[in-house]
Amino acid sequence: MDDAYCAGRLVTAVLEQADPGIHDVLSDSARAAVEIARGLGQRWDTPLRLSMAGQDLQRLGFGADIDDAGREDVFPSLIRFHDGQVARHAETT
Amino acid sequence: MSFDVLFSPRAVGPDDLAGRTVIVIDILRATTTMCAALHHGAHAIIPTASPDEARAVARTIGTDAVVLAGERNAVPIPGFDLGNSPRGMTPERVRDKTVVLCTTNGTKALLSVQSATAVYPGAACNLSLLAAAGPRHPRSGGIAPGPVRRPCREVRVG
Repeated sequence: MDDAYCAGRLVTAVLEQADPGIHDVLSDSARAAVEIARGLGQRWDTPLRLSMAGQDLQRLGFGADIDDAGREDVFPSLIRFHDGQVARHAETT
Repeated sequence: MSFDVLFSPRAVGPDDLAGRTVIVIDILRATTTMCAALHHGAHAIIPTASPDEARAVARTIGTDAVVLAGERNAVPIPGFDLGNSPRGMTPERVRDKTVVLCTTNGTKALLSVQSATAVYPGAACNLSLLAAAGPRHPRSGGIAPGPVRRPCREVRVG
């Protein structure tokens, strides 16, 4: 649920910023992710805490990590996995 | 441009990824942790598939330059410097270091999509920038808008 929600939020954000001249097509699974995000609302902590991963983390005492994971755009870096490593690719100023 | 979302790393084979830009999401916690580490000055992150592989990679780099981090089933791995907590990736711990990271799902998901044209880890913490710039970044090798129905961008959840 947590990752599907994030995917839906991401697809929604991409579509909102898309060039109107570009015709975007969503697969059924992409539409499903968008609907999951829409149904769960704007608060990140709802899907993160309801998900199995979130419940496991809370049980193990990592609830603060859920709060951190739900902070939108707190690390505004584009990072890329390339040649076996993840590194910064670009960032906002 | 078309978009697909794969809900499992097992949903696609390597041959399916050629020419595609893939965004890997493991918001709890691997991709969030990667963003935190790099934001706080880590030189790079090397994802690994197992604790043994992580230790071997760390040895080749040298302990002074490496932070060994990860979890198995959310629990920190014995002998590693850090777990998989975003707040553990402080500037004091990771600045100018290479983080060798091993997680239950996220690092494996990344490693499984290496054949894609471009791969970006994503989470809430970098969502807006990723949506705005990632797949269209001129140096990303990302896919320009293509014919309708030609799958060219995926969001993969790890």
